Amino acid sequence: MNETHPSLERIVDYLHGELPPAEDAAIHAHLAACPECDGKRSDELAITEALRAYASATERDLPPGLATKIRSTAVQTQTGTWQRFFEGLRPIVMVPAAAVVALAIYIGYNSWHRAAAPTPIQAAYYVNNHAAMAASAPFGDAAPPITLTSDDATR
Amino acid sequence: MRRVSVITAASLVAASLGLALATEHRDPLLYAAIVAPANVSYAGVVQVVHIGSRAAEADVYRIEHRAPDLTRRDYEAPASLAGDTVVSKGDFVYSLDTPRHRMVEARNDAVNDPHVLGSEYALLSENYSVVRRGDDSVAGRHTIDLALINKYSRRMTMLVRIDTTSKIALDREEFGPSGALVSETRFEEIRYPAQVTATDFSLPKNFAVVRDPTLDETPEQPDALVGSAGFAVRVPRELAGGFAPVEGDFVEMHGVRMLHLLYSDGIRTFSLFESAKASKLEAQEAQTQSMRIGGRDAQYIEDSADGVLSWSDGNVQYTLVGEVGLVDLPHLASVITP
Repeated sequence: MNETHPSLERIVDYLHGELPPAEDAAIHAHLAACPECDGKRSDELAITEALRAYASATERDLPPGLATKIRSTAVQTQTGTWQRFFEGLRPIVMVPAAAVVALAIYIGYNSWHRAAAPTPIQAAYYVNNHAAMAASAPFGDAAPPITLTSDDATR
Repeated sequence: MRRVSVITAASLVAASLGLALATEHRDPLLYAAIVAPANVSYAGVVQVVHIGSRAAEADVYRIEHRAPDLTRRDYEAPASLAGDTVVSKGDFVYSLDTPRHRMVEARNDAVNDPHVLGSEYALLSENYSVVRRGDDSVAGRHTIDLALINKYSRRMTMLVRIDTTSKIALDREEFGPSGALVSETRFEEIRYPAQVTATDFSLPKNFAVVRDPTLDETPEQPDALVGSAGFAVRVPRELAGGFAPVEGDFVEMHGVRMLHLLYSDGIRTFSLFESAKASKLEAQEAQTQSMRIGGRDAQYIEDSADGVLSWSDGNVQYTLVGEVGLVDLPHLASVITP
């Protein structure tokens, strides 16, 4: 059976349980059959969880009045280009940035690794496609019921 | 699923011989049997048996057919299909998944298109001769038996028993090169009701519909289909036994886009899948066997009565599918990539 890939937005909506039942079922079936899209789903999930974990680990209560003080200081202070560059190298900026770069490298490596390995395909998939098309031959057998790949294990 | 006559054989044979010539040489009873479902309504019980080298499988379903193109099949066996229903309505087929309250909508490849039937009959008559083999009785109906003899092997490939009144094929037996029975499709019961109502083919309204994403796509021209593969596909035309490519489409599985070509000699069929991405065969209940095809490693699996053979020439992954005992997949593979 032919498949087209859902957009990243639809996958995110699926992750958040915001799709109507029919589309939810269709994307559920597609993800079960498509490592590429399932990888995107996993990546989105990983990013969400990483950000949530980082936010949780670094969460602090701000002292009263600190936010207002920072805002007023930022307005009053005019910094130069080089000063802003060196300030950007401070650990408080570099550590999260390094974490994001490491995450991107990890995801990129996984995507590349998945593409390089031979993709496992069930023999039944070929047989079903053959049966569907061969049904048109003179005296051809009726094609069996179409089953979604995600249902294979339950049939 | 896009249904595109990639080619060829059916069309080429029909064109080169001319449908008029095929018409002159057609066996009237055989041709009447091929087109009968477009004109005759019926209901009954059908049993299908496929006999592989290691296993056999059987399906039993109740069938209701309203000419020309409404068909409902309710499966009773095996257990994995029992309770499933397939409804064909013209160009579309609906597989009803009752436990999950949904239905899968796909394009119906078995639609009784007179042009396609005529072309495929031309291919059949090019490769087979028709010999009458007396008469018989199936499901209480009197039949005339026709043997279809392969012109290359000179062996009987199919014996078809045709209802003398309705011209419906009530029993079809297929035989391998050794003469062994490979499959049989037989009406255990059949009746011809005066009226088959359209409501028998109505679809449940509360089921979610899972649509084949390519349902609305416009079929491409054959050359465009091959040209748009995105890699150097191979469409072998000189295959032994009169096999020729008759249909094709693109399919995608696990992110692997494949060109799917159906080959036929008029009765027997096999499929050739080609993709630029490497893949490996897996099966839930069968062992993968290793073999060599033209000096290359290949994998072979028998999925019940069908054989699946996959190999790569380094650039393209090829996979062949055909009924065990009817088509010689390793031989075909060695011709496709010598």
